[in-house]
Amino acid sequence: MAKKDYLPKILETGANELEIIDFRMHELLDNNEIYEWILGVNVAKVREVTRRPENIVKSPGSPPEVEGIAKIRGEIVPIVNLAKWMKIREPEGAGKYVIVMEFLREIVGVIVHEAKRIRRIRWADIKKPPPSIEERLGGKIVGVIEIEDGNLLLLLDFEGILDELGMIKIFGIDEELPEEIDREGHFTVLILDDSPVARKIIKGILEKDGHTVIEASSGLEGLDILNNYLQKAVSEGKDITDYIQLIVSDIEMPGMDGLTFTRKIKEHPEFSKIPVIINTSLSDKATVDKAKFVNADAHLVKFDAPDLLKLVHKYAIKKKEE
Amino acid sequence: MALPDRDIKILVVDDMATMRRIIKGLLEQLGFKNIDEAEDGKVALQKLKSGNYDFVITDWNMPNMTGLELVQEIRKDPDLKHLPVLMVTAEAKKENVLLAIKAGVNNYIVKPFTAEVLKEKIEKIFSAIKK
Repeated sequence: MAKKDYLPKILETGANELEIIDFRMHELLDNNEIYEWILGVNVAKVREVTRRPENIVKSPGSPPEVEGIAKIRGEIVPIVNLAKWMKIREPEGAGKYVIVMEFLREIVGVIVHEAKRIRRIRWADIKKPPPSIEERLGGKIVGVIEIEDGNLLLLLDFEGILDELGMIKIFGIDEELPEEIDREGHFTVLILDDSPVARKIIKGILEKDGHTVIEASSGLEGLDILNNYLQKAVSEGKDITDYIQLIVSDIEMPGMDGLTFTRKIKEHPEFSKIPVIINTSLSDKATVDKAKFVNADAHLVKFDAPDLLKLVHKYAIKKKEE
Repeated sequence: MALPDRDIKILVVDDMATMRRIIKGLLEQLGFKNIDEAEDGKVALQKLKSGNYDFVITDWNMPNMTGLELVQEIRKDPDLKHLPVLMVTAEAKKENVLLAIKAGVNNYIVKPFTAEVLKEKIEKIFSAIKK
């Protein structure tokens, strides 16, 4: 983790809270007992929890874990059978609920056995999965949270699961750095987010508006990319802002968080020329204050496409008048 | 101090194609022609074991095998242990430099650098070897 010990209290992470949906899956064991899986997903990714639709139409060609498609609130939504993905035997009549998740333009429903409750937890309460359960569920457990009676709630990486099922496409990180572009309202933007799906969404919004996107999955990777561009600039007798005109960074990232990253950028003689927009799902005042404290140029709540584009055009470094 | 023979075989190791091209370009400016590339430490090690390389320039931050691990592997290998290595780093933090020296790099260079600085580093490495 990044060094935080010398940071003022306002920058310490751990105060931030998030909400998760606690849902359960029931596995029928060989001895006819039922094992209850306690699972969770971040509310930020959830549109609604609803009764399982009566009509789920098989869609040919999709993997066996995909139950079919259904109409939910007038929209056609692919429905994933989580029990099949988990490879567990279901008790009779299980699977009455669907958690509808949304990734901007993509909506996916997931059949679960029981939607228990919403829990408010702190980021700091999410622990890395211990080795004993790390490999379970195909390694798609991103964290564990201790709940009542010493039980563990397993947070699932639905982005990874849906990617595995081929329902969403996760972009890889390109090893080739884009060249300088002709800046007539089109910019090169460095985006930082640890979630491949979030990167895909932001990239999609920006590319649709004609911008070039460079992706990084952590603050460290972002710094590495900037250092490489600085090398490129020096080798070619140019300025770093000739290549990158804007940075959009998430806050919660492993390795180096977005606030530490932004502080480093703003302390650097060359990198500080590049405007930074902090883009996060946290919209409370404390987060906005922290963003200001590290000299971020703007703050934006995920994923408002018109707002993001407005800020891009407002803050990205425009071409100098020659 | 003078640069070594311009015909020496150099391996440039970096996961970013752009960086490999930049370093190659700078080396070409200095007159070197025999330059090969590898995209990470593992590939580099394979190449080094099968070819007659005279000099390695490697990035620090790379997936699979870092530049530091690559240097450690080179120093462990009886056939490669005398191979001069220049480490490219993003930060000149003292503890990092110490780590690199302990691992056995001959010199390090901090991004961003010019052809002139690269020339100085290479001269330093090769004149130290000759002694």
